[in-house]
Amino acid sequence: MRIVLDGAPLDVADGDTVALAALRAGQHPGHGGTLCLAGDCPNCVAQVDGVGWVRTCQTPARPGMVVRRHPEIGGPSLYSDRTAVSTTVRHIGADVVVIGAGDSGRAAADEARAAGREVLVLDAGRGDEVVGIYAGPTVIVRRETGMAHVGAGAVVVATGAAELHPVCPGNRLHGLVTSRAAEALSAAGVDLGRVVAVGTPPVGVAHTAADGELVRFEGDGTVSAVVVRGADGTERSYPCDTAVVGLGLAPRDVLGRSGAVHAGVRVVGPAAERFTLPAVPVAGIVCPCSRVDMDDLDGVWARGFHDLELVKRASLCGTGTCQGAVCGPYLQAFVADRSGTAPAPFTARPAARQLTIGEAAAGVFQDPFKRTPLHDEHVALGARMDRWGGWWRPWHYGDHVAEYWAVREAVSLGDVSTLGKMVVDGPDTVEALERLYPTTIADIRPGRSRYVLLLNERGHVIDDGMVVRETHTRFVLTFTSGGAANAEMWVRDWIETWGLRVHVLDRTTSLAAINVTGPFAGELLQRLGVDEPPKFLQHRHAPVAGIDCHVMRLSFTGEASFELHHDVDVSAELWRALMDAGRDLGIRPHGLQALFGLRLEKGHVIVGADTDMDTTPRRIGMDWAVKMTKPDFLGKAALARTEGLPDRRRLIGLTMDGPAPTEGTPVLLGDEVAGHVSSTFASPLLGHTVALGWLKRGWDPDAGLPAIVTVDGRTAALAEPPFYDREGARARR
Amino acid sequence: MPAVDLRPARGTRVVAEPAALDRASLPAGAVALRLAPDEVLVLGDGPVSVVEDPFAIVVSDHGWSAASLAWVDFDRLVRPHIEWHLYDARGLAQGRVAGVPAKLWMTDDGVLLVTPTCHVDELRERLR
Repeated sequence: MRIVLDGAPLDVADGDTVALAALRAGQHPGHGGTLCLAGDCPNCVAQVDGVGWVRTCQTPARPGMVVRRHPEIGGPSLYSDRTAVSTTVRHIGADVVVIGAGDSGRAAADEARAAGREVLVLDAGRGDEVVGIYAGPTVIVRRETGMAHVGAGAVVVATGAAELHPVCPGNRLHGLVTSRAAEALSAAGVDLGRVVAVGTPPVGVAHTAADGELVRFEGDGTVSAVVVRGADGTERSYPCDTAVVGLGLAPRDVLGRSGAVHAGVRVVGPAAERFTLPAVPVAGIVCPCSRVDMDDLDGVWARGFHDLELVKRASLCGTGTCQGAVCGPYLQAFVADRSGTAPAPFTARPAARQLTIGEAAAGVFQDPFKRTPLHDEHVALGARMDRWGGWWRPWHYGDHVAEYWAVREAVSLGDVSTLGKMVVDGPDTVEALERLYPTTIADIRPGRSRYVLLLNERGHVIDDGMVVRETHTRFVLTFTSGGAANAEMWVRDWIETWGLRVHVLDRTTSLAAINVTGPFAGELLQRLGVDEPPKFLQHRHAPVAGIDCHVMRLSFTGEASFELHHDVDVSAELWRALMDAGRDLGIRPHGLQALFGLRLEKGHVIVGADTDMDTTPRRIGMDWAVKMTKPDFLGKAALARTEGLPDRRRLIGLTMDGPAPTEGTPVLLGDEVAGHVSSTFASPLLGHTVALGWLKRGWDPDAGLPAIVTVDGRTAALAEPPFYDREGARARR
Repeated sequence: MPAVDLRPARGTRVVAEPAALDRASLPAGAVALRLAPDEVLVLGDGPVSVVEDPFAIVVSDHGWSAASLAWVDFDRLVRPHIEWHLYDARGLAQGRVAGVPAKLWMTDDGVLLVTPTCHVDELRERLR
């Protein structure tokens, strides 16, 4: 079996990790530094099959694997030739998750099993690399097959202890290993040559003991000697091919420290112990990830950073690949020595291991976009579908101008199934709606409807729609497509807050709706069995082409319009019946692009597009939709408090020659930016562009609005909407 | 043939006083999903009557789709896409499956996966 290391083939023995294969061939898997072969240090990380920051000591070698060492300084390129892959995630659960299969982990698992608990043991050596512990607790695990998100009743962190790395001159040479690593290499049959051991010697490995305090490693690229200082103060040099260091242990507690903040997580065994801190080094690289040496730490200290967390941030010691596993004890020892007080380890947070973006995002779905029951009809008609307000909507059917003219001069269908639709009923319904809306509700008679704004407590417009009265106590409320979900919560929350007796049923996804609009809309309905279509702002239940519909007469396009609300499972049938019956009337469907232009000619705002987060009715010229003489409604107090204050924010209408500027284009007064346009449309009927836009500064309310502004380098004249059929006769006829 | 065969499910949606809902008359054999204390979705044909609440909203509701799954298929196809803890108790659970709003009716025989029909295509795709 072979792998490729930096472009050269490398023979691999069965069971080898990538790091072991490199060492067997006499190569360092990285660029030098002590190897622990336990996943603690950063000295073996490399790019494996296009993925950087992989701990090669934990990665089984596979035939054909392509391994590249990282650049000696800096990281691997973010641009990978690796084909994007979808990382799967499995959601699993266990009563108790034990992290670590060493002595303390086995003991914890045995204890839990004896108590009848279902136990899942996760150990990196078995292919389960835990990268983080989150609230829940939830344990995030990387496996060769993908990610696992483990929901646990309890988590026991039993990750044991890691070996200390040496910090002294020469500690970036090749040929340095910890005691445990030496034992593993020896057991794997790797020829270590002449071995010199400092500190606790490796078991089962022939070596020469270097007695004394470690001073430095010597060598030219690869270690050739270990220099120690004896008790008498003299230095002694031990020639070697491999230097083995057994300098003691430190808790392997990155996971434990980051996870123990969550309920249900405990740390046991050596991972929970406080070990004696090592002696403060004199020189050498302390943090191999960020290449921080003792001079760097002294420099940071001299600049006044005397807290462990500050020393870490100022020096970057502990911020790299191993998250302080190597440097943490030395950093603590440094601060303890300089300040006289031993600090606690620095804060640890997930992830404890490097993740690819794919691994981090595995199992995360974006919110789904809903499809109306007419989706396939739109596609069959050649619609370009786009996302709008949480739904897939037809943007146009190939010719938005023709769609526009069908509305203005013939008849057209629009899919408005996406509108929020809610039924409310109960003895307190009128009282609840009077409080919710700034418009008078009680005088809406059954069979009638009214346009309404929805305001928040600050008097800002958060949605709009229709209030449709069915009976003395039952109403249908409609909301914008994008605002429906929020409106439902809003209505429910306030009714519950007020303790009013009102039932609320959201029917948004259960009912479809088709808007039949245009001069021939009424005739089309009559052809399909509605002898007397409702008059403007009236509604009734009636079969259309034999399908039960709630027919509501209103208008967003400026033409006579009937919304047909009906069950979703018969929507396609109704759509086809309407299209068939209107063929000789010139019927064609219209998409959002035409609709937005049609409504703009009428000056109708789209909440969220033409409004901001702090838009009041006054600012958009819709004071008429607010009845300040009502006893109370949401937002009334704020509107009353601010109605006498000067306010330069105004939604204005604009007309201009030439093509429609891009929405968002600045509105200039002189040379100053005074606002922006929110909606624009080159009107086929009017022969010029109409727009809505905001003036927010640069004009004096006492002097009145300016007559002209500049948009897109062109003069635009202010004009009060609507731009079309100012009397509203066409919608009513 | 999709792995999870979601099909339209006709039913009745009722909102009423909780006590009245407790004593509502439901069609025999229907699956009644108590979505909230004051709301039930009845899947199946037949009338629903809530006599104790004159303001009860009772409407036919054809906006749902459902798939019936044996436990072994549910464990294989659906459970891996549930991020929340799914207790093994029988009854109703509500939450997102593969990020899509769904309801799970769990019985000894298996699981009924219910979702608004407007999400069916997306859910099918995500469970594939």
